[in-house]
Amino acid sequence: MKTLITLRVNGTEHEIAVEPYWTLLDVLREKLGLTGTKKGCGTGNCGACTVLLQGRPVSSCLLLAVDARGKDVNTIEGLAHEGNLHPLQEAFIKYGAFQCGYCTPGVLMASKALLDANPRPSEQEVKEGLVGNLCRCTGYNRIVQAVMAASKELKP
Amino acid sequence: MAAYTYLGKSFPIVQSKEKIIGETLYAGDFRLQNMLYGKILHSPHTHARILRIDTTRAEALPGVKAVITSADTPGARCGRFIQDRPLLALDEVKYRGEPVAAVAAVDEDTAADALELIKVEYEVLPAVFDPLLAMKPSSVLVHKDSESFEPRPPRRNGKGNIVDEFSISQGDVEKALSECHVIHTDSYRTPAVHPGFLEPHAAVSVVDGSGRATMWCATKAPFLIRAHTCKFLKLPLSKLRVIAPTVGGDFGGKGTATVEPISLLLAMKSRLPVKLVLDRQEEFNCVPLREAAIMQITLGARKDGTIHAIKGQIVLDSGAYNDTVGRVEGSATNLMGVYRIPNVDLQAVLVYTNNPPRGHVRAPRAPSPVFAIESHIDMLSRKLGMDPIEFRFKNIVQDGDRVTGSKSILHPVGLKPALLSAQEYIKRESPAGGTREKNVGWGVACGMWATRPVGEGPASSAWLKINEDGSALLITGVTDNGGGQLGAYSQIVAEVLSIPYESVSVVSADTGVTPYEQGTGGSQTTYRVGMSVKLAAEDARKQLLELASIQLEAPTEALDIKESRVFIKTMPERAVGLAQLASSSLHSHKGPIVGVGREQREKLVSEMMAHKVDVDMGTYSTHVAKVHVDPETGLVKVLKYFAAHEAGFSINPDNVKKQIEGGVVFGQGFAMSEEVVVKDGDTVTGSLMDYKLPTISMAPKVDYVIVEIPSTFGPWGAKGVGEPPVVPVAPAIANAVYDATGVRIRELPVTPEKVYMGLKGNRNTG
Repeated sequence: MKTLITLRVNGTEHEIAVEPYWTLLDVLREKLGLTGTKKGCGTGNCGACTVLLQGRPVSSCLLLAVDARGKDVNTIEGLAHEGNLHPLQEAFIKYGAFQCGYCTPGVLMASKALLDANPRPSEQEVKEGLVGNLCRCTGYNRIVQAVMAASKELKP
Repeated sequence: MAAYTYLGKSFPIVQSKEKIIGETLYAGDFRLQNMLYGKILHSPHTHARILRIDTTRAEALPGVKAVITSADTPGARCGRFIQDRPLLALDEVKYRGEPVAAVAAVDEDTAADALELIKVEYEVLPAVFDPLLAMKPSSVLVHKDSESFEPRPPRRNGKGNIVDEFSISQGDVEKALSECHVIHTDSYRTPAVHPGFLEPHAAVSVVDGSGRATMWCATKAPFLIRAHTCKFLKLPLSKLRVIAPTVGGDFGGKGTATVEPISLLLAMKSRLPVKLVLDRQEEFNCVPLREAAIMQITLGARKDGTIHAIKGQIVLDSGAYNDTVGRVEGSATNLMGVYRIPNVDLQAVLVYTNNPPRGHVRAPRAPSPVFAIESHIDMLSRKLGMDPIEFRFKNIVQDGDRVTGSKSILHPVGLKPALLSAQEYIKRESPAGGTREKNVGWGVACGMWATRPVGEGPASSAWLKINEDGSALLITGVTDNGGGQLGAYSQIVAEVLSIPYESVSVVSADTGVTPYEQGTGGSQTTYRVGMSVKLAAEDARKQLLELASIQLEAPTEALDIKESRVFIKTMPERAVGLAQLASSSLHSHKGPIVGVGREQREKLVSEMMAHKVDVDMGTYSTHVAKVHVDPETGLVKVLKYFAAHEAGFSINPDNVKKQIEGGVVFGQGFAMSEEVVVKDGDTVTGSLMDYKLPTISMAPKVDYVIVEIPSTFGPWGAKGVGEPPVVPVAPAIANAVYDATGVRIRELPVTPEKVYMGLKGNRNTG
């Protein structure tokens, strides 16, 4: 039996009818058309579905949509501001920190949460912050370099 | 050294901005009006006869629009090599996980409910899971009807469950072994592993009122998907258009038609669009994994350290269907590694079992035998009392050596410089004075990967449209799964035509639009497709110069193009813009300018036949791993990693670096953490919790050196590098663990448990 809920995603409110057992990931992708967040495993192990809930990174495949009611949700679609890329996005392009791009939205959201909480991380702290994000293409080092570079850009 | 404007530059990959803002659509992101969701019913049995399938209750469930079984298909079998696999199980299921039926419903939940309402009656049959048992004539047969499978190419020696066998011999091995000063014999095992792409298999299919179908699917080979789908569903090729949008990683695993034809059949039956996406558990169960291997090697050397003889066998588990595993020569020859060995007796056997099917995974047929031989070389060198690197120097193949068992000559061979730079790296990075760090070890391994297939597969072709504003549109069948091919080929067009890189657009991977392409992979895409793109651009350039020569009243030899203008070399102020040429041609009797390029395969083949040289055959590499082993827990940490790779000219140097960096960590998974555990046909690893892909904390920083040896026939001497970095990683790490601890791991992956048990108990357990 569906419930009407309001979700605030990237600052915009959406009113939708959801089943109580629907995940936030499925609602974002299938109901709101925000397909930037990806499903990689469905069990919270790969990080491709990472979004920010009240600024904290969560695996949206493990979160019920109803539990996001009344809370700020931020997805990759909201990372750039009015067409201007976020320094993380600029750094990822500059350092070539992605190839197929499938894990990238999740990695970027996890990186944003990391830098919001710890603006000047060490390389080790970056690795710890991103250990929940799998990438099969890059070998990870460029991701670390890009996040480090973005951190310096955000907080010189 | 030529100065290029666009070649040799590291442009960001095409679609960078779209990927970074989450705008790029992968197959599973597509949504069509009134789209249904498909789900597959999998066999719960490893081997069983299907007595009856009752779909009536599923069909009656509200929201279900189609239910299919093999009865809805002509029952055809497909495969890239041997055509043994049906789309949905026919009279028998051959492995646990085999697709038996499928449904399409208004949402995923309804589809899942419908699967539970399909009643299948099975009669369980005996099954075989161990390839060593399956090889025996007395074994249970996986396919009683295997003689009727269409072999493509011809199936050799296959008897019973044996799919294929290959032997290579030279000299007199038994006599040679008796002449050896030192002999080492050992066995090795490698598990089945998944390609590990983050994007699961996905297909969205729709059929229009005239019966024409369009399918967007995650594949690296849209033309193969079209061919196999049409065979599975008995459709004329002209009725199906297959488009590969951006693919979220392929690594060999998206080159065969599994879920795609199922989505289309559901769309045909329901007369609505259908999206079918596999979940991660299904990924481990019904799509091809790298075959598990069981290997034995006996290697003998003379007193002076020259290898004198090798005897060995590799048995490969094909699973229930061979599909893309192909023939086994490569597995046998890779057991020899990169060494000169005068006396050889090697055998490879590929066997059907009732395990899930096996197929291509990045660098097919190489990582397992190379793990064996490179571990083995290390042990033999130590038995001889020789340094493992010096032992390798003494025995590696050289440029001009004859390929074992063939008349061909190896050329070029960049192995010596690769090994040298590896040796220098270790010297540079090791503590001064030669002191050994506690619990730390160094390991070296050499690899070879054949990046050029001569005579195999269709030649590549490309088309280049010149727009009336002087910009260009490249039309190519290739897919870009992250490797950066589309951008690199745009660089080729920009260079040949001397137009801005940004003015080149690409349309790709669409069977309804682009020329045929066999698929991205085999580390030969740039070698073949890059060449056809270069030739298409040169053809367009020729047409532009011919037009300009009329307008400028000068012969074409006197002209050149720079920055979108054709000019007379001796009078550069006499010029005409490409836009003007293209536009005026368009409006004249000549019509639009289109360049056509076809990879000159006949030229390559005839040159090779003439010289009997295995030109551009392999690229060589040497890897070094420095590891730390925690004696309390057996945990292995890769502290440093170095890769020396032979590569040709780099059209986009960053693309090359990325393949090495990514390929090493890909190989590290095979070495240290990945294993699809299958017990009695039951896939135990069903999630990314159980199946450990390398994480950011495992991955070392990869230092590398390129040994630049141009290819003879690739565009500007380019050659492939996508797969070579995967090949020697496992033995480099295993050898480093041995160096640190004296524990020899013979069975991958090198896990803390195995290292710990080795440290505590028998030093030589695997």
